[in-house]
Amino acid sequence: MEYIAIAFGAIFVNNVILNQFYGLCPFLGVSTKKSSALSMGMAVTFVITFSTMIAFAIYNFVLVPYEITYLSTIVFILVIASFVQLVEMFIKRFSSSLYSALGVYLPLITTNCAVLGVAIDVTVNSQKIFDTTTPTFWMVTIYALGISLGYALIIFLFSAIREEMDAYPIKRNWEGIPIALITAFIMAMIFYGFGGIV
Amino acid sequence: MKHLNIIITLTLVVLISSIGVYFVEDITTPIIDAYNIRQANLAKFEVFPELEATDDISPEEDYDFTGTTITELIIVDGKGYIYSAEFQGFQSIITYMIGIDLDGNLTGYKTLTQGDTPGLGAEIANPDFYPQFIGLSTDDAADGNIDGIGGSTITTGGLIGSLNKVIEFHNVEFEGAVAETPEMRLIRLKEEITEVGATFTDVSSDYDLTNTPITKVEKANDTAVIYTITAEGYYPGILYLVAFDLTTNDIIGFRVIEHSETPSIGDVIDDETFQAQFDDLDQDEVDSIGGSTATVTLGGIKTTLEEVVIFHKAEFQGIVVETEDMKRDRLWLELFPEATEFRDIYRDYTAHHDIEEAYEVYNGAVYLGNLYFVIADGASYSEETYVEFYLGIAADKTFTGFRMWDDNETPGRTNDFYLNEYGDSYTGDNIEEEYIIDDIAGSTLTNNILQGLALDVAVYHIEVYLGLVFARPENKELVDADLRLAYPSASSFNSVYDDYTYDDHIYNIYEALDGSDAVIGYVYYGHAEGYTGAEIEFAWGVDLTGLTQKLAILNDTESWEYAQEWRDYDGSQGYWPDTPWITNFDNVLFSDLLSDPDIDDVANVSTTTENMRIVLEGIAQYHSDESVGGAG
Amino acid sequence: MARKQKTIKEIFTNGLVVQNPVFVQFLGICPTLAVTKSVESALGMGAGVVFVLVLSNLAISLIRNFVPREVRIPIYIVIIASLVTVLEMFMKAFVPDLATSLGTFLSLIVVNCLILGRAEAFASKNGPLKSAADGLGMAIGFTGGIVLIAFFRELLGAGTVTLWGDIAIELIPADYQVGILVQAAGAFLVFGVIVAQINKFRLGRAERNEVI
Repeated sequence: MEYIAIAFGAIFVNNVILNQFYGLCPFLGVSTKKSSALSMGMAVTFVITFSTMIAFAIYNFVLVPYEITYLSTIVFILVIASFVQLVEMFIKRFSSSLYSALGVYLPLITTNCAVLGVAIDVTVNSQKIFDTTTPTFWMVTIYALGISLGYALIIFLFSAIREEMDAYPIKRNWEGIPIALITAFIMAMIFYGFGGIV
Repeated sequence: MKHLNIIITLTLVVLISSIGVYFVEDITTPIIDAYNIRQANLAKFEVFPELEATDDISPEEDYDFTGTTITELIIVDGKGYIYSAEFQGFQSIITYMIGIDLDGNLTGYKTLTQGDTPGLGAEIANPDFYPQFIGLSTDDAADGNIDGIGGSTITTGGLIGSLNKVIEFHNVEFEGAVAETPEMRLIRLKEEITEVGATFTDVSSDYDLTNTPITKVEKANDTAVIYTITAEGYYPGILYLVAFDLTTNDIIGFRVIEHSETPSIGDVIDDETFQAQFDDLDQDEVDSIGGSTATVTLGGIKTTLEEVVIFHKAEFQGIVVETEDMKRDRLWLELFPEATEFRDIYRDYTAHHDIEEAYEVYNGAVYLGNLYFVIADGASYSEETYVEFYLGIAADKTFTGFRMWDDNETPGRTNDFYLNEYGDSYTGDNIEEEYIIDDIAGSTLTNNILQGLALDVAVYHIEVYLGLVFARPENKELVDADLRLAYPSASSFNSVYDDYTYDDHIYNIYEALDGSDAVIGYVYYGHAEGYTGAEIEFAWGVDLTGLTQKLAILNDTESWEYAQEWRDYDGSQGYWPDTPWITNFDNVLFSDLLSDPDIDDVANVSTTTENMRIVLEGIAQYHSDESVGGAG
Repeated sequence: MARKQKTIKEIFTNGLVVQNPVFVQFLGICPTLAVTKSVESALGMGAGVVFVLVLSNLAISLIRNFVPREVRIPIYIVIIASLVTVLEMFMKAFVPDLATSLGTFLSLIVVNCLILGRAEAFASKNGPLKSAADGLGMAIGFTGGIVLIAFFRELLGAGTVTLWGDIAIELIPADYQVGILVQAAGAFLVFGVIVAQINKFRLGRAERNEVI
């Protein structure tokens, strides 16, 4: 039950884009087409989930015991960058179809602040997220998975809306980013509705 | 070469960055840690400004805080002490923290948690409340020399009591004060209510303390006497001291030695404000003691103290005061001077709603008569009042006398009923004949009620106790036409009064029969006394469920024009209520009349309407008591 | 035609207005929206970005000739992350309340596209002085952008303008505040409306230029 609450909260209530503002650059940049949004969403889900697990392990087994948690930011960004690099090399070598679908988005993900943000939130700031300074590995994993699914969900929904919107005339100064932001505003308002559930 | 270059560059960059970060970390960590410690212990820094993040603030574990209200003690080496403590406020446990420096002055106060009434007790957490503690000496704090919170004596008192205990602990542990032993405390309490340095002499053995709550009598310098008294509050085991001045015989002080009363309810007896009420208190005004919602506790103190006052008067002032028990014994013997035994027979006979006690009176084996104790409604129509009296009936069916016990009728109007002169006017009257009893001027209604009650007791005595038939007057008869006014749906009527106990307000009782002679209800033919002795006769029908039919006024001799008009009032005269008052008694359940007699008497004709109401309610009660037609 | 070398002043104003990172380049949008609940936190975030961007541009420019191309990005990241860590520690030590209110976004300066973007696009190709000027201009342009958003959000949403700690100006009574603006959703709305107005101005100017 606790895990369901964590997952639901991560996907809908504390939605990473609409409520926490993580990963907005790719959100506004990539989400013009449904197909690319879907690929981006899958890549992000994969990277966030696994890099969070790795970061959590490093934090608890290396940084905390050696009392060097102040290095968290440096260590995490290096871990994420290396992980993304490894994944990219790996799928380039073993699956060209997967590489053509996801590969081009992987370098972008390194600078997607959602990845680093979630890693920092579940470790350094865990009190704020889980109400405890010692969350379990499963709580963290489920949270990371929920957050990234929430990310994928929003970016996909958003791209679908933007594809439709392209068919309609919009005043020139509102085209592009401004109307996308207004759309995000409306979606965020809608997602407030989930706030009362958890 | 190229790869080597990459590795060297990377290593160098990481190394230089790490060294930079390391140095910054070295500089900032102590500051960050200090901030975090300060954040986590804000209250401690607030109540003890000299505290620094480097100080050891781990709580001491080697002290026993039992009975001190202290929850935590931190000794700040070389600087002072921080105490956390708690007490019961008005509605909640209140926790707070104080700091004490090495000079024995408070460095600050802060309320940590509270859940008291907003605007009242909750003001204890108002930061405006705190500054007065800064620099306050522990002596002043222990004495409660602080500005309390307006309207929140319990909360303020709780805080002062708790501070007192904390500072006592502090003085004993850190200031070399000697802990007060129970003996020292007792002497201090005695000195507080008499004189510091007085000599206390135990004179208990000079007095008979049986049947008193007093456990010890002591004299202080022959100028005052101190009683040690046990009382029962909400819980047993209150032990307190009261001092009387031997010159004025006023109460001069009160202190509680021990108790187990509920915090902030019964334990208000510990409060200074409560105890101050006993300073120079007239010995006859013990009843004026108040200031507490703890009625049970307060009652325990007052009751015992009243007994002590009686003891004190008898032993030190030569005044013998009659106690209730003594008064009861006296009244009983006045009614039966030769009695040696009063045998309780109350539970042996059917109850009567006005008779509360019944005794058979004997002299040895010789039966002398019966003694009844009556508690009944009084005469006032504006509020519920009561009269309580003893009535003796001799073996020869004459009254031995009447003795009023208590009443709360209009003050001053009933004093004469307590005179033996009045009580003795019953003596010798045959209980089955017309009574010749004195009337007390100005109390017509009470006169009538007492006479009626005497008759009730007489009827009870004859019919219930002796099992005989009361020698009642001839039943008065009514014609069917008149009866039908009270029970329009009945076709014939049949008198059944002889089957039931006599009641002086009832002339007759009829069964109301339908066409096939089945009983469908009853009609009471009764009478009430109006203004200045006028007679009002009425018939009142009631069905088998206790629902009244009509109240028909048959005849009245009311002379006063207002009262005469009451039965045919049509609303035009203006001084009657819009609904004629008499219809209050139509179509109403007897049980409602008895349980909720919310019928106002009518101004200008209050005597008439009140008498009428009393008689009608009496009939409803009779109907139920006698179980007429099987009524409950 | 040989490209004319820009002066330091031009470089500085370029970032400040012409290529404003917030309203024109849309770089670093996450903190733009996340820390603009109050003017105070926007100023704090701006100051942090000034610190990191100026120093990172300076450092990267200084070592630009020694860095092998293949590993330049990881090296930039290490430098930026170290600077951010230093910034974090300074802020936690000296302005702890501000550090708490910025929360994770303080650490996330590391992945602010603006920083890495300027390192790659400018500092790796220009001298230290110009790089620092570019960093300062961009960072101040960024600060100005987020402060502008924060100003509208806080003013209309909470009725106040908080400059520092308790130094706040209460301007709009509670009855007339639009609470949603200080909520997360309001950030999108305010940002969108401001961008649209700036676009309108820019389009208008572009059209006038075309006419001429």
